[in-house]
Amino acid sequence: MFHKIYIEKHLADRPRTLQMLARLEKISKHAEIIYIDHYETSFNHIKKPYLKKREELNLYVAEKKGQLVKVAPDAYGLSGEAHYYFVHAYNCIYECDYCYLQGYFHRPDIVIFINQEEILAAMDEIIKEHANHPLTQDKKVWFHAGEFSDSLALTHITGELEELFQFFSKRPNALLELRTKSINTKELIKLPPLPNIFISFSLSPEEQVKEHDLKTPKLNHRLKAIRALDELGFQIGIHFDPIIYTHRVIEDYEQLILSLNETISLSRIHYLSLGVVRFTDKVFSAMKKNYPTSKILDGSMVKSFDQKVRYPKPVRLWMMNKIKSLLVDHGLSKEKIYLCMEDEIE
Amino acid sequence: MATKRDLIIFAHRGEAQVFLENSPYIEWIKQNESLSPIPKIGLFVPKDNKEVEKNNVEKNNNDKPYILITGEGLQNAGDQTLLALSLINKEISRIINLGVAGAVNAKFHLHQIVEVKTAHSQTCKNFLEAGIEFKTYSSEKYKGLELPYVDLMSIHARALTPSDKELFSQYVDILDREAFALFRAAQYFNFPFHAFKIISDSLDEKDFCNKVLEDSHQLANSLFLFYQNYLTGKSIVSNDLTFSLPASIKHLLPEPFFYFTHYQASELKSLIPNTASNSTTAFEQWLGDYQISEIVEQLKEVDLSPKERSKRFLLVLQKIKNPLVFKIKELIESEKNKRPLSFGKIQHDSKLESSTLHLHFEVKNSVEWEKSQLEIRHLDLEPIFKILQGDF
Repeated sequence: MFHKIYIEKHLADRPRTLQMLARLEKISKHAEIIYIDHYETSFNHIKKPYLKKREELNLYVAEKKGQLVKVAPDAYGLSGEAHYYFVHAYNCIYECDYCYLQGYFHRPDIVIFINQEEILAAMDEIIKEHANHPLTQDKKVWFHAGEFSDSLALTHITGELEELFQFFSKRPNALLELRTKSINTKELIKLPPLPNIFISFSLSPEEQVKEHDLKTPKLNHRLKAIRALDELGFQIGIHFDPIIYTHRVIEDYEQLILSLNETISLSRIHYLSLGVVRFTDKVFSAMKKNYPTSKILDGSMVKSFDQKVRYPKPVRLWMMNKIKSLLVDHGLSKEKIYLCMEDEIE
Repeated sequence: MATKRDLIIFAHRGEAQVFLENSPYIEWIKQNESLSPIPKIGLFVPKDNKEVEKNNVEKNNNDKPYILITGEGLQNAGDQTLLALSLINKEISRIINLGVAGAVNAKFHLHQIVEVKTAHSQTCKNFLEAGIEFKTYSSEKYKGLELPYVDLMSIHARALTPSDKELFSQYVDILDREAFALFRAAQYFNFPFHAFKIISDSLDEKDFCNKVLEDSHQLANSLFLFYQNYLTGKSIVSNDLTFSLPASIKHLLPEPFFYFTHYQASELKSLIPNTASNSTTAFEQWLGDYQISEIVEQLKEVDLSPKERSKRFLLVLQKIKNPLVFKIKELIESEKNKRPLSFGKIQHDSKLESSTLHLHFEVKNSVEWEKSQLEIRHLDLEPIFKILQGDF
């Protein structure tokens, strides 16, 4: 799986590093292990083409420095609540052609941050701040994982779920979201479901998954994983993001909603986000270079209100309005739907 | 020894935008931050190959020109060009001025590219009293190009009315605000110099300032294509303005039936399937699926000018490629047509990104103004706002 494994020297003897290496022994037994001072030296400064990950994917085991938990951008989750995200890893084993990671880092290699105890301490500080402030003490605080890497795809190697579950079991006012396209639920199902931990799946119509979500689990496999987790009592969130325009976009989403409703009654979904495909200039250029025949490039896109490249506003709003109506018609309450990275909708 | 490059001079950033978007550039100031004092200059330098390769942006940046954006007016143009030449004169081979110009001679059409033969200047703002500057500069005709070879005057202030322009038409063909100073600076350093202008407005245009702004990307794109295809020596120099059409579709759209401007050619490219290697089948399939040849044949039968025919063809392709965007535009136009204004018009963002509507009125007297007020009072814009909000 991994060609080379780079480990920061000062982390070499940490129990989590050793556990990870033991797990990697089975799946990357020929990987060369290299001890380094700081992962940033090569990760941040030596460029490696994004698609090189197909032939040679490396892993860095590192310590996350700087701000460990950050305020999430507007419209990141259900409104009226505080949202933060934390970074447990950089990069992804999947290869969605619209993915913003292709224009974000200098290298597509995976970085796993193992100083989770410090990340949890930073979250604890935030939870306490909110609890002590008169304006926020009644509100829940969300922490989102999966901003820069899939939250479940590598959990059989990284092994951080148990600690996260323990932490959140003692903090009922704090909510955790694990965002994923993965069906790697092996480690997750060993843990007891908690009312404040949400597993959220990104879903697209079947044809779109085939066309754009390269190397990810098929739609029906994701739906099966959702059903299994729901039956075990896990809280489920759904993201219809990114919505990509095709001539049949509304029909395709109606079919997806029907399939989802057969998998798990829509009323059991805790929240569902709608987001239309969007790019920074840099990511858009990277996508054109990496996936020149991607059908996303067929659509007419413009610079939008936040300088991101998007479909023109009436197109975005039309798609979101229609899909939102379909969801409501099929039984999902309006209050559970939020729009991701969009400024207005009726 | 470093390769010598072209120095391309623009007055405005908007004119240079496509050049700067198409290759990696760095501001000269940023590259020389250690210098003290750093001269304030709008010079852009192609990133060197090492850096480009490292960042994997583009393999060869060796032949990319330097870009200088001078700012508007003779003073800025002269100062910035002399400063740039004093900094990089050893690294350049020739100077080319690309930019927009207003036509004062009715024989030129919008978006036509012309070559400047002579540049004149005014001695002062009051042209009637002062006349043309004695000194004029001229440039040798660019070999192999058969563009109109014209006389230009660089004026001190923007000529805002058609009557201003009419006056200038007695002396020159086109007007700009910088070229004269560039000719002079190039002559000081004895560099070969050529100026090419794209016609951005004409005598008949009432609202030409807004028109130039609206068309700025088109104009910049045409200048970029023109440079790439005619001045770099990489393409076959031809008078055929359809030069940049992909070969796969060129034979379908023969002259004299079709005439594509530079911008239209570029738009056409974006509307047909990728004709890169391995996609010939996709292109053939597209031709068959949408009966493109039949559409072309039908268009040939219609009594239209080649330019109009090309425009109509592009509309058909837009509808094929982006049916929803096309539908939205049609809906908006239809709603606008239902609301005719005697002395005004409703304008919307052509990119459809902004929901703001602009109402423009031109009234000559209080009667017209009162009539307009009455019309505004009864103007229901809600259906248009709804379309712009995706509710249709």
